[in-house]
Amino acid sequence: MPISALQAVSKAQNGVGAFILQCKRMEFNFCDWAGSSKGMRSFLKHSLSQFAKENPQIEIIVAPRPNQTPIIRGTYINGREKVIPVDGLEIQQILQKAQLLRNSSGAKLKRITRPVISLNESVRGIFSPFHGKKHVI
Amino acid sequence: MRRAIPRITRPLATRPCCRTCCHPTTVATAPRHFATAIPKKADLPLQEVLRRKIWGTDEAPGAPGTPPPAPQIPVVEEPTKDEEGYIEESDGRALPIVGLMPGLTEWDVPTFANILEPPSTEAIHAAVHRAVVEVYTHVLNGKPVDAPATEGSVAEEGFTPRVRIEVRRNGEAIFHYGDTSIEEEILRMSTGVEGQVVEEGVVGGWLQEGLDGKGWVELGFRGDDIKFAVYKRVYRLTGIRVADPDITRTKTVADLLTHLVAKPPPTKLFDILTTKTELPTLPNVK
Repeated sequence: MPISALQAVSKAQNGVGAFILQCKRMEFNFCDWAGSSKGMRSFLKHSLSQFAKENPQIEIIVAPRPNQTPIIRGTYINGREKVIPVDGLEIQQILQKAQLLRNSSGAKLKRITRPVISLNESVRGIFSPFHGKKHVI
Repeated sequence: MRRAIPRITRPLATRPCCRTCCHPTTVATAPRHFATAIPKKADLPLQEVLRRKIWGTDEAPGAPGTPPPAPQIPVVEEPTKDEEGYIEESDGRALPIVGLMPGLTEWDVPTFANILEPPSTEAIHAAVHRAVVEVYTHVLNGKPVDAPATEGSVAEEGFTPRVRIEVRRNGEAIFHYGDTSIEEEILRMSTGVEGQVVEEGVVGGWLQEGLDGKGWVELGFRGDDIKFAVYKRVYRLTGIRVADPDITRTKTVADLLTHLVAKPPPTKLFDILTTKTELPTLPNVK
């Protein structure tokens, strides 16, 4: 009776073979008049060109939004969006926020309770009271 | 509301009787009806009764239906026109005209700077340059800064644009006249002109320096008298007034120009990004 081998399919892990940046689009909204957009306007004039060159895979949109708080809106491959208001921030702070959006995925923020997260199974096996040294009362 | 005096509720007796002794009385001594309410006629409202009582007459004003009284205008006697030296006023505002030159209408009041149209930026720069050259020429020749103006046309004024002002790093300023006759002409003809700032084609390279904020505009005023003399001359040439606190804070010619020349309207950031940055050339930027 022929025995067929189990067909094992490799799990796709982003970054193992190829890496796909999760952030596909970033939109920068600012106001021409408001003082809270001062840092954003300076960022757009001086730092955005360099940021766009370093990240050619991200679609960058610059749009004025009068009388509104300046924001950076990041759109991800899973369809979710993340918005960060940058009112009153300086150029370097806005650059950090843009890099934060670029480095994150579209997943919701979760609270991590375990120190180690791994896809591999436990090496020593999961505890069982019926195996190993018996407890003597 | 309780009344102070109880109302008489029981009917009176047929024969008038005094209340205290209940003895029958005669008609002459019949008790009178007593009530706290004001006796009023049945056909008049209370408001009308009160109005008549207040005015003290039956023909009180303000009654509904009566016309309002005519306003009384006081009659003012006009002065007689036969007085010696009397000039009948012709001002449309019914105000006496004082101090006007003969031939002028009521609106042609001569001012210190009779400028009708605001000058251009280049004209302002030329006026300031001219004022600086004139004032400092007087200073260099030991003449009073604010020399009295003399009447006379200066239609051929083209001497001040030929003067080049060099400002060194140590703050020293040198006036290059080029020819002694220019300096003499400036001293002779630097007064009595309003509105005639500069002729076209006589402007030197100092105009572009001034527009760029360099060169002669960095000249500092050596004293308040020079500063105010320059401003006075500029005001007469351009008609632009500068507030006293701004003049006090002015240290250089460039500071004075900032108060004279209007700033250009602020451009939109979108225009700056599309014209002065390389964002439009990037393929991933919209």
